[in-house]
Amino acid sequence: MKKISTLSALFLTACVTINIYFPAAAADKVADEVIKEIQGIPVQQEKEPEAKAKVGRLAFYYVVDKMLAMIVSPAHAAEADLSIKTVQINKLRQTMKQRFSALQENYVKGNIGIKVDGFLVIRNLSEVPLKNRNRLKKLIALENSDRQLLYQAIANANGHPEWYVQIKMTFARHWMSNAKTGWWYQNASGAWQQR
Amino acid sequence: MKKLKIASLLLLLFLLPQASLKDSPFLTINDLSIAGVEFKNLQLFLFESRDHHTKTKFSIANISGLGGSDEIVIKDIVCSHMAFTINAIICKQGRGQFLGSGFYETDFDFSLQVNETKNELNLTNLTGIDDIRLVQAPVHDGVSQLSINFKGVTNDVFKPLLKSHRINWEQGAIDVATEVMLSQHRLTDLQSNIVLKSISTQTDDGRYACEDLNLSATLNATVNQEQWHWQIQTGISHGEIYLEPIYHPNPQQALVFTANGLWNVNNKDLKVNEFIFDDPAMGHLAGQSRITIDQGFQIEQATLTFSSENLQQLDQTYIQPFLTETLFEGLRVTGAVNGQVDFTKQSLEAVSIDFSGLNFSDREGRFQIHNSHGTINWSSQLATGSLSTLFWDGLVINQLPFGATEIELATDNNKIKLNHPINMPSLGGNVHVGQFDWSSTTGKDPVIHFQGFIEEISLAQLASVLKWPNLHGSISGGIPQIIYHQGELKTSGELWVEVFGGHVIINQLVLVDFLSSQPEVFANIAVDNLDLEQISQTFKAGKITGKLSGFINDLHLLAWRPLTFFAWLGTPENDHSEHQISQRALDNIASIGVGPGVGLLSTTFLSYFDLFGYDRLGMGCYLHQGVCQLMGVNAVNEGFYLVKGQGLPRVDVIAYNTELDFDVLLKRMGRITQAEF
Repeated sequence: MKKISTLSALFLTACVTINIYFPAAAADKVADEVIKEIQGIPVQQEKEPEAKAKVGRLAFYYVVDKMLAMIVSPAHAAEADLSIKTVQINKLRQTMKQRFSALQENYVKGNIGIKVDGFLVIRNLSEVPLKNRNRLKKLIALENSDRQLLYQAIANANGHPEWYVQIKMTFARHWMSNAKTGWWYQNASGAWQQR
Repeated sequence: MKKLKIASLLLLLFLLPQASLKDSPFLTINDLSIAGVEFKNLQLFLFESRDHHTKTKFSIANISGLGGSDEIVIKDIVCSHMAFTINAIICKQGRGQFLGSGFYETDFDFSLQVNETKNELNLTNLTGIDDIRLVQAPVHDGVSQLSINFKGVTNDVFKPLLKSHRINWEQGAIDVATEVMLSQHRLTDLQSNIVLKSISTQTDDGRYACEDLNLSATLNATVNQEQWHWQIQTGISHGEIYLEPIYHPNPQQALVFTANGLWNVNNKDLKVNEFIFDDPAMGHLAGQSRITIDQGFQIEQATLTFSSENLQQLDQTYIQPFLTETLFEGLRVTGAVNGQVDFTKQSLEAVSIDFSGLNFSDREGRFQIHNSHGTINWSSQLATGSLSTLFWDGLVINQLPFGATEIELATDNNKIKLNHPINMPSLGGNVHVGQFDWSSTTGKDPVIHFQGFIEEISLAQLASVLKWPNLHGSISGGIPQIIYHQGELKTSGELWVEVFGGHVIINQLVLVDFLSSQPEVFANIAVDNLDLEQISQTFKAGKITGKLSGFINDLHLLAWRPLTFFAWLGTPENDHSEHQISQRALDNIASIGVGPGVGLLSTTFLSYFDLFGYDRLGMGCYLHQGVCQLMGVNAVNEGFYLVKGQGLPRVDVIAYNTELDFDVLLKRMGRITQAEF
């Protein structure tokens, strides 16, 4: 009985239903890569994960699964990459990278902060020299607009405009995780915290 | 006034019979109330000093109710050195403590002098204030003068109070010198000078701020039967100012604001006889108005005059900050302007503006005016018959340039109408405008009517401006009635162009958002009997004789680039003109379908023939998603004829690629016109 049920389970794994899902891991990777590039942080080359020893029962399931896959020809639902290679995305990345140097000193001084949705906001306009206040407001407006365009462009480039919200949320997490020491960000409850 | 009461009280005490010299109080009054001011535990001491003179000491434990408030208290008042004469009471050394509503507390020293000619109180050693001086002097019966001077008032005085209003006063000091005339205890004249020295202050949110500001202000006011006549003069000689969104840098010359007028207390009617604001580096603003504030702020009547010789600076400081994220952001203006604006009952009534040397361009260069001068007159009344005249050396609209032009417009109410037809030189030819009018009804989008024609516009210049492939020759044509409404420009008839010996007729032309960076164009175009010899000469694509007709239907351009169309251009039916085509033209047509570097004819015996006869030629394209579905004159095998030959030697051009990237097609066509053989 046990052998039959195991075999049934293996057949089930071979019958793949095609689901269009948001590639969360790929989005995390893309968000991290894009943000690090914009902020001038060297990106560490990802090491190939070491092959896990396929021993015992797991190894057996693996081999049988592969064999069944050859017979049943399952629909591919492999981990998808998120494409970010379009002219518009490249231009946005370059623009944001150039703008970052102007934003950086304001991050450090606490004049601006990262909101919980990943967009920027002016925290202390009163600390900004008078002659720079309009310029900073303009910078923030442009940066937020470009972030929005970037998320939509990535969603569009992958044929799923509706992924905008998930991409935005993914980027929001990574704007925060890539914040440098001394930068301010809003936590989930809306309170400001300093990294 | 309260101080005078205290002085009177001291005088009263002086008139009391003297007691023996003891350290115990000579006189004690536990509670005293004068005009709402409460005095607690008044004591007068008489004692003998070391030099055996009689000395007087006076103290008050507490004074409250000053200014009608119980929260302002002066306590522990001690005058340790008092002198009494028949005409005067003098306190040379006094101490006290001021407690003001919890926002300001200070110990202070004081001196007091009360005599027949004046009463004077000086306060020193206060926290946050250098000194305070109050002088009261009678002028004549029932009339007295009061001077109140505060010197060196710093943020220590107002910090808690300002903090509660979310204002931070960071540095600087203020001097206030005020003189008032009182008649029967009523205020009749007031003169106040306020000097701000190196003041840096801002609201908590940073939206309003000044830094290192030096300002002096004078207020004069006199009252006559409930009507105040007031006058203000303010000068800012130094400092940066930020009043969101305006940032004013440190002025090279002082900014001056003056105003005078009347204020009727009963009617709450404010009349500004005159106000002037001078920013010497930028401009001059003046005006007068009558405002009622009884039921909200209402402008009954107002006139503003303005002038500026430096529109660039004025634009940067006062106009641009309001245009952020609008179509006019980044607008650049230079030149000089002066004018007048009239308001009546909250509404704009008339405008008159003269300008000269005006240069104007938006950030994208979509709209530019060079060296313009003229007068704009406008009135809310149609019957006024206002006329405006404009002249410019150059005008650019969406990259299309127009030369020097003078126009006269009728500009009244909600209508602008061209009074006389105009000719605008453009691209080597002329644009003639026979009719132009703009009208707007409240609550509805404006409607624009336009009619005119173009003559001899250079195709080469037009192609260069619009970044099209090189073109040669010229075009003329009629522009039918054009109506612009709700961002869409539509033609109500056929727009026709005479070009290459034939006609191009544009139907159902619609331009959407044509003043934006992404204008959209929709049209159907009919091409009728164009002379192929002229076209082939213009494009230097070899010689072809014959006629060309066809259509471009469902054309849709975005930012002047085609998105979709269905087009056919070829030899018309029943065309009896001569049909000849040169070797080079054949090669070029072949290269459109196959790509460059064909040159088949030149490598065969056919190279001995210059011209070949043809029956029909033509090509069609259905453009969709950047790809052209190609078609030819006739289908043959798996391809189609682009040129179907006739006579001997006969040459056919047959294409087999039914799909071609539109950009590739454009590049191939461009390469043909640029190639030198």
